[in-house]
Amino acid sequence: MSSSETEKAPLHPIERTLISALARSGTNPIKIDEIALQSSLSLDQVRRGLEWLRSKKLVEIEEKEERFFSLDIEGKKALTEGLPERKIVRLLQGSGGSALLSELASKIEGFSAGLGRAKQNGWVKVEGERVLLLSNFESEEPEEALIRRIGESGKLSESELSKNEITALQNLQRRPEFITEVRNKQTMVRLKEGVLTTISTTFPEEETIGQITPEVLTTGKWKRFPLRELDVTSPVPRIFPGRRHPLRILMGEVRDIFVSMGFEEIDGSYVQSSFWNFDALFIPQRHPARELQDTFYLKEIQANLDKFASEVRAVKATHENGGSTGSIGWNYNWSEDEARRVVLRTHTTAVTIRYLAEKKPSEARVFTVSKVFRNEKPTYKNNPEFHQVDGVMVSKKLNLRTLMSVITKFYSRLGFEKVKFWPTYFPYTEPSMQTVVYHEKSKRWMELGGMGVFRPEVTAPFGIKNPVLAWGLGLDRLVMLRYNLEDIRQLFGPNLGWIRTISLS
Amino acid sequence: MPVVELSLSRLARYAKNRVNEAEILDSLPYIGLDIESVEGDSVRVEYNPNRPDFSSEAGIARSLVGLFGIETGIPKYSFPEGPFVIEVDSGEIKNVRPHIRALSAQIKVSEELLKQLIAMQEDLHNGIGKKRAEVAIGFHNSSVIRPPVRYFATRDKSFSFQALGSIEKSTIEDILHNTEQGRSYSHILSQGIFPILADADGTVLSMPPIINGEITRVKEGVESLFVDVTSVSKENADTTIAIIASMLSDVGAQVQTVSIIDNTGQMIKSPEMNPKSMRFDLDLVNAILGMDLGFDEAKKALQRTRLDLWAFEEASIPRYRNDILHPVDLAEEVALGYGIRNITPQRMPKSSLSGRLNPRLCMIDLAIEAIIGLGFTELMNYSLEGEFENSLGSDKSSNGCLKVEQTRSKNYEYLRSELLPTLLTALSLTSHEEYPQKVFEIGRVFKRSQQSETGVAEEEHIAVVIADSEARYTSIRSVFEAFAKLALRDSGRISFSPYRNPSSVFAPGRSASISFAIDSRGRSLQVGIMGEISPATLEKIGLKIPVSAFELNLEPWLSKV
Repeated sequence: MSSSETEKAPLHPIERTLISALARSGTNPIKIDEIALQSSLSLDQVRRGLEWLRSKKLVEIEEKEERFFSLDIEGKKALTEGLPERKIVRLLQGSGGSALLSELASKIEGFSAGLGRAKQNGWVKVEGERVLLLSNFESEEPEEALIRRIGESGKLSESELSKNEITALQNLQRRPEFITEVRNKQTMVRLKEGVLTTISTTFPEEETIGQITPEVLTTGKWKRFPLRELDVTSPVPRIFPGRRHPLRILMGEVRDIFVSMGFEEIDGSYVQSSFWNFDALFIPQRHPARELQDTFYLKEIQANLDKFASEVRAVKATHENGGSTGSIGWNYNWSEDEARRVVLRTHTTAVTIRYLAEKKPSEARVFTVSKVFRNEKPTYKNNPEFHQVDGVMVSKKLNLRTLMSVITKFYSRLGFEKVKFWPTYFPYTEPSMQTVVYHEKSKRWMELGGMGVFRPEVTAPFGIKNPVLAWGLGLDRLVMLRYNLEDIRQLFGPNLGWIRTISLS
Repeated sequence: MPVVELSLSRLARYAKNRVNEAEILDSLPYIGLDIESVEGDSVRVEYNPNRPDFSSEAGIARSLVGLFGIETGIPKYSFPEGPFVIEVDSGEIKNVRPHIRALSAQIKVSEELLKQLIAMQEDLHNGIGKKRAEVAIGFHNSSVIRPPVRYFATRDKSFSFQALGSIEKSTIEDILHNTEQGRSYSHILSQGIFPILADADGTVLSMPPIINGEITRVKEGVESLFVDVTSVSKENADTTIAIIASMLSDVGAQVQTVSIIDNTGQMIKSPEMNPKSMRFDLDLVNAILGMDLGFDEAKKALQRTRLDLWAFEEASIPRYRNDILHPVDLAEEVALGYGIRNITPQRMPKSSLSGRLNPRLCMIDLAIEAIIGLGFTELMNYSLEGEFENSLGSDKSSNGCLKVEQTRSKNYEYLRSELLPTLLTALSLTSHEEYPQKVFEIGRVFKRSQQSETGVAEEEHIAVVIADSEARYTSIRSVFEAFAKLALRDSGRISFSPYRNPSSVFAPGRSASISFAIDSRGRSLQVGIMGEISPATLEKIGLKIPVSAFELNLEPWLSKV
């Protein structure tokens, strides 16, 4: 459409309402939601009308995205108690200027990040196992100042921050749960100079048909008045489809791959006894993965293992001295009370081992795709809840080389053509390998999952005689790779904007 | 996982410069190390906790040269007898920390070596030592120690010595309360029995596992070392002293044995370096690996992992390894020595098994299909929630909720018993997104249950929410009815009745309880709630738009599939 034609097109009633609303503030920019308020039009009508006016060169529209920052849990804590680096300084002041690393670490949450900053600031230095207080520690570091400022005003926008404060902000954002960020788009509109004086002459009012309604059709009004031309190039209101979560889509793909390879899907509880999550998998009771700081234990409840009495006996003997498995075992006193502690499962292998223990199959192919838990502080790369797939195969003639071929096929169906294997360690498999795949888009090798042959200490106590191949991988990182997400926390929770609009292709 | 810092050029020297640094870097993953970072000559690697012998660069080099075929088989360590004797007291020491091992060594301690020793000690304390509870290590300057050394226990808290970092003697009582080491580790000696290692002059070397003495402190420039390892387990004591002995020997120390006379008067020489053994079953190894290796090939592979085969059925294992528990462990050693890179995939055997999806999860897929067709978008939230979301639940009794111990983040502390509180809270954070917002979530909720073996029952729920200026009871009811018709069996048996729970998120009088009739006599289950969210709830979570929603327990429909 040429500009001269545009200028002649008559104004739509919405456009007229908008112009008079805008005229109230002269040619000063106003926010789009304010226009809606003043004109009693809906936000959608305002948006559409403004687009028409823009194409007629009557208004100027500016989109501004603003980021707002407020304090998250740790940030709020730091506001009252000080940042970890400050706590280190205070503790050191209280203990004559020096303390053991391990002692500080046990007393201060977020110790290692705090120590790093304290060293950078020249407040402290580390000598062997000790931390020594230097000078300068009185000076406030930029992060502290920023936390104070955000704390005072509740929330700050990016435009209110100095260059130094932005650096401090980035540092804080790298530390888990200090800062929450909300992005907000703001559209500002203003009337162009001189519009009001020319408007009545350029856009004469005439009766036209704006919308073809049943009334227009039944009365034949359309024969007497012209249909107003639409600007077919201007934007329209956004609508959003109902859709699956991107992780759900990937889970579906993984399930299809397994089924196509002859695997049956199984499912199990998130809440498990330590017995099934750890002991049955020959993970010794003093293994670090079983500590409170890594695993979520449920308060005040204990599992009842009565119906597994014979399995419990066999597992106890296996841990203590190998039992009848041919192993020397872990050589300690196994405690049933420890096995009765209730956990949020730390891996989906808890589900596959239960299946094997129950069915004792001589041949089987099963898998499960589901959620697991680790007691972690959420950061950009770790979440306390994430998703795993676990597959197991049982049959007489299985071995490490067949496992390699199953895995190669599995990963190639997932889109990873190049796979290599590195040795690693899991308490329940032998040999144990990690799978490293080549990611074409980022052109690098990445560790994606683990695999191995179940140890006799795992299978024999449950009477499983044939070799069991097992493997698992985390799905959340795959979703992140696929959609270029850099922060794993964006995968869940309040992310409607992302889920509504992310392109799946 | 623990981390060790390596120097590529030093590793090349261990490999007699027969491989270059690039090849070394490339091979580290093939002995089970994860490369964390590379900066010039320096590489940081993570090692797995089953290999405490990887706690030093020398230990890693020992495996690496095997893989390259430069030095293979069991490393030979034979140490001459040294001047030191340890007499183990016959008293209470056997009840608290009975096992002690030791060595002495001639080596000039450089800054670099001191750094490596401290790093290794720290790793061993945390790993095999379980934060010193099971194993503690002391390094001492042996030139100030006069044999024999005595290992005994005391209950006397007024016993005093000059502890590491002090300028004068202090009592055990004082050390336990006024030193960081005392406060960090005194819980290990909660019985009140304190092990002491002291020489012929009464100079205290250490009070394991808490603190060493100051007088025997190792400083840069010291020329001879005395090392003690104390433990609650004989095996761990033996493994640990062997790890230290082989490391010191590899970096050039002249290691000497220490004679230990135990409480029965029996004498042993420490460190014991004679190899251990494990049954070797070639058929088992070949079956696990899917290979057809002959005895000599298997032997060669084992030698490359620094193990050996003595006879057809006996593998020998260095003392510093404690991870060979079962003959299957030798299969991995053979694979490593053979080279994982040389093992090729083998087609998987044909099977008559057919794949299928889980029927319960298929039913959930149908529910998702139906609600998406009605225009709703799926959100996923966490199963754990914080205090705030928990307080929005309709069951306000605190003994009903399930809480985890020592969460690292207060946002994840309670297992949710309903989906709506977290879903609504999530929507309060997306108020800048365009409305209407039509979302749903399918997920598990958790309740206490006597019937369940864990004391917790899990139910699959669906929650559906409309946030829109036009959201009403009618709008969500229409969605519910369409959903029920599409996705739920016997939807004709569903009925509604007024719901007036003032403590729920719903507005009393504008919400309905959903019931499902389970027999012809009119017995029914309450399966859900539907209606308008109360203004009080909306205000609490900060939503300024009307919301209507339903939450439905899907179990009655899932449990019958």
